Amino acid sequence: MTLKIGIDIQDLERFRRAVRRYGRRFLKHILTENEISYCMRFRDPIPHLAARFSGKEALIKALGDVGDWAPSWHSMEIVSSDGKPVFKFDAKTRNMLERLGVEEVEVSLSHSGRYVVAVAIIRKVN
Amino acid sequence: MSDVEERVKKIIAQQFGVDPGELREDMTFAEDLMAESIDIVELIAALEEEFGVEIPEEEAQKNKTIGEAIEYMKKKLGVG
Repeated sequence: MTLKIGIDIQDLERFRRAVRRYGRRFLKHILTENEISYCMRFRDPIPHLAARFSGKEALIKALGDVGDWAPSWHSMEIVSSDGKPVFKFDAKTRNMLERLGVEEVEVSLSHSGRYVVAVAIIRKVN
Repeated sequence: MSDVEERVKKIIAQQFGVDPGELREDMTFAEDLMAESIDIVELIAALEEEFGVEIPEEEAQKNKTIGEAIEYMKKKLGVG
């Protein structure tokens, strides 16, 4: 068994400026409609939106170099399950992860002040 | 320099805070411009807005250099 870890940090003010400037045009590239509508329920959706983007970046880092394939931002989404963030993948990405030997993916999101951080851990069979 | 090339370079220069004259077509976004993912997403949104087109993520990911991005936009717009 191998454990892989990925970490990411996002500047909330930078993210907020991008959303203010480009709105959904920006968000639709990195988040699914499901993620956007979930986050928009909050008084300030920015930390929630940025944390999901950060979680995806952390997972991509944990996966490392996987050849020609890389999961697209729309092939995965972070949903809340009993208050805990969990990844959901589309069928193609699930298959690719299986072929790479990925058995389990965990993600943790946090924010304080102007930053959000995310850590993703992958458990793989050798 | 074509109109599309000039406009793409201007947007890239604005995104990365450099002079358009400093940009070379062989420069890569990742290494030469030290682009973070959020820079790339903003750049895609800016190009979509400038040219009134949709740029799918899968297509955008293939453009690693400034020259490739210019050629992609020319092809997308059916010019050059």
